[in-house]
Amino acid sequence: MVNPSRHAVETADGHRHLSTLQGWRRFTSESVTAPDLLPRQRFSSLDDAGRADYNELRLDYHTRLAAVATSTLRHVITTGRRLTLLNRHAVSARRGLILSGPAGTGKTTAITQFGKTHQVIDAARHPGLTDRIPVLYVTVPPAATPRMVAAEFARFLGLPVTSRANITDIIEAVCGVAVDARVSVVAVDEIHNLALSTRNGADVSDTLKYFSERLPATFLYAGIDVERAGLFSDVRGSQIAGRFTMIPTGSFPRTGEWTSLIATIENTLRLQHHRPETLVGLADYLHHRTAGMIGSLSHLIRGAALDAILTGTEKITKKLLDAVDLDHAAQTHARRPNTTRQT
Amino acid sequence: MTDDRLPPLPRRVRPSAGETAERYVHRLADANHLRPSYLRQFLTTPPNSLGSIRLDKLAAITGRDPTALVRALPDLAPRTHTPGRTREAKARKTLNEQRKRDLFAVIRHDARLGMSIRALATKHHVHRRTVGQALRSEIPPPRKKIERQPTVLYGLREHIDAMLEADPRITAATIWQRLHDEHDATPSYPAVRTYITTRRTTRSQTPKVVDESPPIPVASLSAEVQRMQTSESPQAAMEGATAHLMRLAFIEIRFLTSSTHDDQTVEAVANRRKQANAIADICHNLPGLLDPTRRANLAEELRHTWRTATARNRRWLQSRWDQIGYDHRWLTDLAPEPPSPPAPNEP
Repeated sequence: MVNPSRHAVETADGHRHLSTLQGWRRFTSESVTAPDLLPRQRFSSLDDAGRADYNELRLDYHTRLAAVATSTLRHVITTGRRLTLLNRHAVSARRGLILSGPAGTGKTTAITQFGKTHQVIDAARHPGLTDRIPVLYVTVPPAATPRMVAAEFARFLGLPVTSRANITDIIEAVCGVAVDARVSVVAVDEIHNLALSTRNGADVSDTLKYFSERLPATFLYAGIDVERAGLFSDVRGSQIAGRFTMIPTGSFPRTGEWTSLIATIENTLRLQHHRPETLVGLADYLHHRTAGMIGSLSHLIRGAALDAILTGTEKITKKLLDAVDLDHAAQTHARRPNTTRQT
Repeated sequence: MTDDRLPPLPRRVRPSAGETAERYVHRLADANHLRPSYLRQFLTTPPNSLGSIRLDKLAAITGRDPTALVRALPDLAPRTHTPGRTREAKARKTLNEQRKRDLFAVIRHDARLGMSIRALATKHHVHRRTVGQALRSEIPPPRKKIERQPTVLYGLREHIDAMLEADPRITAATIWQRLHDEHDATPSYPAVRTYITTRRTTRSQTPKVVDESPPIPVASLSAEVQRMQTSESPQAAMEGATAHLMRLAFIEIRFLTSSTHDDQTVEAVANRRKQANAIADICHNLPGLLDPTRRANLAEELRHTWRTATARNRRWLQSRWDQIGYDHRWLTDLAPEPPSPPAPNEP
């Protein structure tokens, strides 16, 4: 049996570097398999070491639950797929996609899941070719300058960027390699970090525009409330607005989809004494707590599941859910707007 | 960031057989659209210096096993210094010279006993020429020095000179970088720096052009021809001059068609080809003229060749005859005559 703790450390390392080619490849090639639950009797007869191993395996599993196919996610994947096909032979003025919405509404998940889907499709279309890089994923650093953004592209590809490199050389290298490696989707996350009203922001926007002219790829942007951040105002913005399809993401209303979402997440849980349908019954409560934010919901349920394993109760109850929020409220970035909204 | 954490480059390149590590880095840079000098300097320790290629860094960015890399590119292996190689060579040289002196002494001793040159040569297993040398002087003549083009910076000196000419304040590092990026060359930095230092300190003197093709030893040639002309018949002089003309022509054609030229632009290559073609056109009949059965007609044939040659070819012929010191007035005085009428002995 693989030592689960060592395994967990390795994958955690890979997750952190989603914006490098190696990390991205690991992300797109990994599939989470749910560990099987032990029969009740065997579980109770586990010794300390055995229980620690078993728990570690499940903790690791619950920290990286598979993304839930929400309607937004499906919409992004269908639209993205359509755009990549439309752009396949476009010479210029390629169409793009913008994901915009408040924090914690699953933008990054949607964009990375689309990237993963595209990578799988590309690998299936070109079997046996390992040097293709179908997806390029970068995040815009805060207060970005054009050079920083170009360096982010280079960093993803693994091209060395030293202080000596000038921006022209970096862009040349990135474009050359990207064309050679057949990059067909460029996902730019945290696009709200560039403000077109500032000079640097405008320059970065121009750099991205230049990349989109040079690379025969579909560009995907994701950022928090980009229409309010001024991405579409002014001349530059109007061009972006003219070429990009906008997909808003938001909180889920308390509908049947919300219930089925919770049911899907609940089915993926691997807790020893968890009674099915408990969370579905708490759908109203969960909606109230998370204000319909998918990110918050995921955090809440996963956090509660981890607590259940660590404390040994092995089931999620309303009481446990209450406790999670209190304990993690200060640390969990994704839920911070949620807590303010709740008051 | 430690070296083994360097991410691999996106485009992978396989080392090819017989390649140097420097050339491999160039190909790697080309495949990844990086400047060769930039990637080259990235591979040194400390980074961005001008030192040698670090094996661990190269292995990391290529994603290859260091041992496999060393096997493919042996010059990446750490240098093994064999101590005392120079001393050994010197000792060997001294020993050889001593042996030759001993041999000469024995030959001279035997000669004093009255042995003939031929007998001496047979006895000592040397050529009679060597016996002659031994009899002339007891100190053997020094060995002929091997004239060899230095391979360091071969074909690059002209470019370096041009860069120095254009900007006297240019740094050695800049020149090194431009040689790597613009001329696709892989010189080491110390070689470039040393050459530049030498050039700067000896600027006032006449520049020594090393990359040119070896100059034709005109002096010896012309001396030979002149000796022929003074001592032998005009016919022999003519034959000698024709043979030398052919030799010059071959040397020039070899030079014009060699691949070591720095200027490989299309026009330059075409120009050189045209020149070589013209020379071949002039000389293609000469070997036939020297045929023993036709030699008697050589003067006639040469006259015909001269008359039918184009102005350009005549200039070439005249200048080459001048070069080898052949008295060509009997032909060149014919120049005013129109080249069109066919020679009388034309079949």
